[in-house]
Amino acid sequence: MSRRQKVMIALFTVFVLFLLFAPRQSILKTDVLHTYEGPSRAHLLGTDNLGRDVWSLLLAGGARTLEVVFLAGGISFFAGTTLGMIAAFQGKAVRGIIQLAADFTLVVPSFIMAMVFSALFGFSPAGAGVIFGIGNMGQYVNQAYDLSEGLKSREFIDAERVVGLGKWRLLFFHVLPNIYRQLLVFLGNRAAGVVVQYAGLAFIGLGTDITNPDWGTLLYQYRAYLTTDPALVLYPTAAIAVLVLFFHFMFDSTGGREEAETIYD
Amino acid sequence: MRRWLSFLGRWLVIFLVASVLIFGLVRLMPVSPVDRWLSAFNLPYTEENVAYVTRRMGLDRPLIVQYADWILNFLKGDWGYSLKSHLDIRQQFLAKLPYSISIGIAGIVISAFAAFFIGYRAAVRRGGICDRVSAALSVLTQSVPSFIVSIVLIYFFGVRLKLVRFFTGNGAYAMTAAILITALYAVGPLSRVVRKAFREEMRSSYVRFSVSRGFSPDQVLFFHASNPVICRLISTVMAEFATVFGGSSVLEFAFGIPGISTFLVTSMKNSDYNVLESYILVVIIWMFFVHLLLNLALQMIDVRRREA
Amino acid sequence: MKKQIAAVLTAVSVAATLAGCGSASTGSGASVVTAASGSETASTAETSGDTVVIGETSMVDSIDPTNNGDPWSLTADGISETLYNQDENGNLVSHLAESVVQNDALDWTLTLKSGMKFSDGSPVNAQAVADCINDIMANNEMATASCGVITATAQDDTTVKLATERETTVMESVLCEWTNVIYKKDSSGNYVFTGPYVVKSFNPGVSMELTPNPYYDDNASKRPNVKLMCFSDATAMQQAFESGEIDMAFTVTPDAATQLEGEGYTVKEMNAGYQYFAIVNMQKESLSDLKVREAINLAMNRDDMIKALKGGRVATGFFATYYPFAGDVKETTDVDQAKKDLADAGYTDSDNDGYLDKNGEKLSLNLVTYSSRPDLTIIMQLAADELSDLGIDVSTQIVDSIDDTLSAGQYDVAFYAQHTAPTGEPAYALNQFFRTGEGKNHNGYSSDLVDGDLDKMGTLPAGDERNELAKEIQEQVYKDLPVIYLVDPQWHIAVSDKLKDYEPYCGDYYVVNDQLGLTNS
Repeated sequence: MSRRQKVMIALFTVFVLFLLFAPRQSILKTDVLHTYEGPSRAHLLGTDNLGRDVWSLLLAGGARTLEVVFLAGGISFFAGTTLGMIAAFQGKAVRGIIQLAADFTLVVPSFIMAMVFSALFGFSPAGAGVIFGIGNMGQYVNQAYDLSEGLKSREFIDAERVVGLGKWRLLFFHVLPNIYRQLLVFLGNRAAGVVVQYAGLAFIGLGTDITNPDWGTLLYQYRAYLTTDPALVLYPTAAIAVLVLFFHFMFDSTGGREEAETIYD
Repeated sequence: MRRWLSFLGRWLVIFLVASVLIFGLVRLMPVSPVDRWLSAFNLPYTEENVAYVTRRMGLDRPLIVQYADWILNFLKGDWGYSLKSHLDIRQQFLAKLPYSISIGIAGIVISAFAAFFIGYRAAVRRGGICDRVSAALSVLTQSVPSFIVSIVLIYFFGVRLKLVRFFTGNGAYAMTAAILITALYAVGPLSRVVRKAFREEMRSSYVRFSVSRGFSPDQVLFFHASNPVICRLISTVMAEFATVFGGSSVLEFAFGIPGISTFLVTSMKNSDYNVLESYILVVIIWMFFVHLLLNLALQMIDVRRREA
Repeated sequence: MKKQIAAVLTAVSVAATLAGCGSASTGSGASVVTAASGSETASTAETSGDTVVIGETSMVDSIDPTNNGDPWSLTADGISETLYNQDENGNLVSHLAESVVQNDALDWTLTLKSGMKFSDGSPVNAQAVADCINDIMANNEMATASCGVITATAQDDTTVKLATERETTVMESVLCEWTNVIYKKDSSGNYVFTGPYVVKSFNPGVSMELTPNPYYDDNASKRPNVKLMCFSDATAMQQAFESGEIDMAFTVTPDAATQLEGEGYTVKEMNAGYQYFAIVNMQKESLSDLKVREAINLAMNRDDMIKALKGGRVATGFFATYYPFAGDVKETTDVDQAKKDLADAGYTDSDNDGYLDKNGEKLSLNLVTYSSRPDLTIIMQLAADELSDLGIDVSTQIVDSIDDTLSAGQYDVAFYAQHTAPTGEPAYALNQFFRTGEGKNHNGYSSDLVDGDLDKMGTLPAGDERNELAKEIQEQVYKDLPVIYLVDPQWHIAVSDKLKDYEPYCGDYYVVNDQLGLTNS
C-alpha cells in the first residue's frame, strides 16, 4: 500500500466518523420564522425552506448514504467473491448456474430494479443497499472467477489440494488472500457508483420521506431554489462529490504509480 | 453455431427467471392496486367496492393462471391493459420506446466515437489536453449526478437566455440535450478504457516491429492496432448499456421526456403493476438485442482480423 | 486535430439524425387520437387565433367517461359537464337543466333547457340524457353510492323522470357527482360531450389539444384553443413556465409561488376546496384519552403551517370557509395549556430522558402522511417539531396508500387531505368520516349526537336548517377530536399575461372553465 493510499484511508475514516458522530441538531426541528438563513453560529450551513438546520440534514443524509454503500459493497464483495471462487473450484454444473446468475445481474439494470423495489416495498436505505449489492454482484463474481482461475495453475494451490485441505479452507485461507487486493480496487470503483445511483434513486423520489432526508432527496427539494438560494443545491452536491472522490482515490490503483514507458513517449 | 445456441439458451433462461421474479415480487407488495385505486378517487373503502374493482382487474383468479395467462399473452403481443387507464400497454410502450431508445443508442454511439478519438489522442500524447480532459471528465461525471447538470442546463438556456424551448414544440431540444448529457457522462470512462487499451497495444511486438520498419508511429497505432481496442470498447459499451437505461430515467424525468422510464415512474406511483411487469420484460428484450448485435459486431471484427 | 474535429462533427450529426428519427417516429407512431370533430369545429379553431398552453402535473388517461376516474379529469379539462356544476361561490348551477323537482321520496322530475346541443351539434334532449344516465348506472358502480341506481325515462323532449333506489333530498348534488357527466356516442363511435371545449388531438399521458365547442354558447368564437401538457415533475413545469413555454402552471408549490411572484409573474391563489386535517387513532391507548388529543390539538401551530404553505386559512371546521355550511370553530395554539393537559393526563418525564412517560411507558407517536399531496409533508414536518417540543417521542413515515394504512390502523396521527364538498353538499363527507362504522371512519369514532344529526340531515332539503346541523356536527367533532382540523388551504397557480383575467375555483375540478381566456372587457 502506497503512502498516499494510507493517508487517503485515514482521511476517509475521519470523514466517515465525522458523518456518523459529528454534533448535530434534531432534523425534525423546523422554524418558519427563520427560513433560508445564511451560515451562522446556530446553523453552520444556514437553514432551508422550513427553517431546518442544513448541516444536520447533510449529516443525517450522509449516515444513510454510508449505510447503503457499506451494505451494497459488503453484499457484492462477500457474496460475489465467494461465488466467484466456488465457480472456479467446482464442477461444471455449479459454475454454469453461478455464471448464469452473474449474467442475470449484469443484464438487469440495478438502478431499475432498485426503483421497482422501492415502488413496491417502500424506500429505505437498507432495501436500496441490498438491491445494489445484488445488482453489482455479477461483476465481482466474474472478477473473482477470473482471478481464481489464474491461481488454479499455480503450484502452491495444487500442492495444497494434494495435501487434502478442505475445500472451504482452501478457498478462504489460500485463494482469497491472493485475490482480495485486486477486488478491493474494484470495490472502491463500484462504491463510488453506488453513491451516485442512490442519490439518483432518492432524487426520483418514489416513496421517499422528506423528514428523513437523503442527499438525493435534499437535491430534489432544493433544486427549485437553484436561482434564489444556490447554496442549498451546492451543499448536497458537494457532499456527494467528496464521498465519491474519496472512494475514487482511495483504491485507485494507477493514481500514484508511474505507467510503463512505451516507444511513443 | 453452438456458441450462438448457448447464447440464445442463456437469454431464454434469463427471460424466464426475470418474468417469474417480477411476477412474484409484484404479488408480494404491501399495497394492492385495488386499495390504491379506491383512495385515488376518494371512494369509500367498502367490501363491495373492493370486490368490484378486484373483479374488474381480473385479480380474483389463481396466481398460476394469472402468470400463465400473462406470459403467454405477452409473447403473443397482447401485453394487457393498464390497470389505471385501460389503455393498451404495448401501444403505449411502442409510443414511448423510441424516446428512451434514441437517448440510449445515440448517447452511447456519440460517446463511443468521441471516446475512441479522445482515448487514442490521450494514449499517444500522455499528459496532453485529451489525456487531462478525459481524466478530469471521468472523475467529474462520476461525482456530480447528471440531474444537477440537466437542471443547470435548462435554467441557463431555457429560463435565463430563453434560447431553447425544452418542453414545448416537438421535443427535439430536450432529446438533444438528454442525448448529449448521456454522451458526456459515458465519454469520460470510455475514453479511459480506450486509452488503456491503446497503451497496451503500444507495447506489443507487432507495433514495435512496424514502427522500427519506418512506418509513422501514429498511423501504425491508429490503423493497425485499432481492432483489439475497438473490441475492448464494444465489450465495455455492452455493459454500459444497462447503466444508460437506468440513467436515462433521471434525464427523462428532468426534461419531461415522455419515454418509458417516465411512464414507469408514473405507473409505479399508481401501483399499476401490469405496466411494471411488461417494463422489466421489455428491458430484458432490449438488452438481448444489444448483446446480440454487439456480439455479432465483435465476431465480425474478429473474423476480419484473422483474415488480415 | 482536424481529424478529431471532423470526428466530433460526425458524431453530433449522427446524434441529431437519431434524435430526429426518434421524435419523427414517435410523432407518427404514438397513439394520437383525432377525435371526430365536425368540420365547423375546425373552421372556428382557425379563426380564434392563438393557443393557451396549460401545464398540469397529471393528465386524463382516456376520453372514455366510463373509465375509472376519467370523468373527473374530463370535466376539469372543460370537455365534459355534469348536469349541475358548482360556481365560484359553491352554489350549484346548471348549463343544461332548468330544474329538478322532487315528486315523492324516490321520484324526481328533471326539466332540461331547450336548444342545448352536444359538441357535434345534436340536441341534448330528454332521450339523450336518459340514455346517458342509464348507461352510467349500468357501467359505473361508483355512481350508485349516494342513492342507488337511478333509472331515467324520457317523458317528452325536455322532461326526464328519475327514479332512485334509495331516498335522497339533494338531487342537484347527486347530479353534480363527478361520475355523472353528460355524453353520448356519435355515429362513428366516439364520445361527444357538452363542455366548452372539444378534443382535437390526444396523446395519452403527454398532451391534449382542445378547440372551443361551437355549440356551447355565444362566446365560443372568442375562446382560444387550449393545449394541455403533462409534466411528471413540478420543477420542470415551473421552468417551462419561466421560459414562457406554457401560459399556466396548475399548480405550483408555495415556494415556487413566492419565487415566481418575486420575479414579476402573476400568481393566483384559489380556494382548494380540499381540507387538510389530522386523523387521530383513538384505538391506541394513549390517544383514547381526550386530554391527550386536546394537547395535540393545542400544540398545532396553524399560523406557522399557513406561513410555511404561503397561503390558506386556519380551518374553521371540515369545509372550505366559502360554503354556507362551513363550521364556526375557533382553533387556538397554546403550548403551555397543552403541556398542562398532558400532565393532567398523567404524563411526566419521570426517568429524565427528555420524553414524557406514564406507568413506565414512553409517550410515542407515529405520524403518517402520503406523497401525492406535498403540502401535507410540510404540515407533518411542522407538527412533528411541535409535538416533540411537548416531550413526545415522535417518528414520521410517508406511505403511498394512506387509506390502506388507515384501515390497518398502522398510524397514530395521520395527515390527510380531501375535497370535502365536491358536490356542494356537506352530508356525504360528514357521513363518510364521522358516522359510526362508515367507510372513512377508521378510528372507531362514535357519537350519538353526530349520528342523530346525520339522520336528520338525510331527510332535509338543502337550506339553512341542514347547514345548521352540519355546523353542529363540526362543533361536536371539535369537542371529541377524532379528527383535528388544520388548514383550509389555498393553492397557487402561475399564469402568463394572456390569462391575467382567469379565475380558478373549486380546486382541481374546473381547471379549463368556460371563462378561460375570455377577457372581462
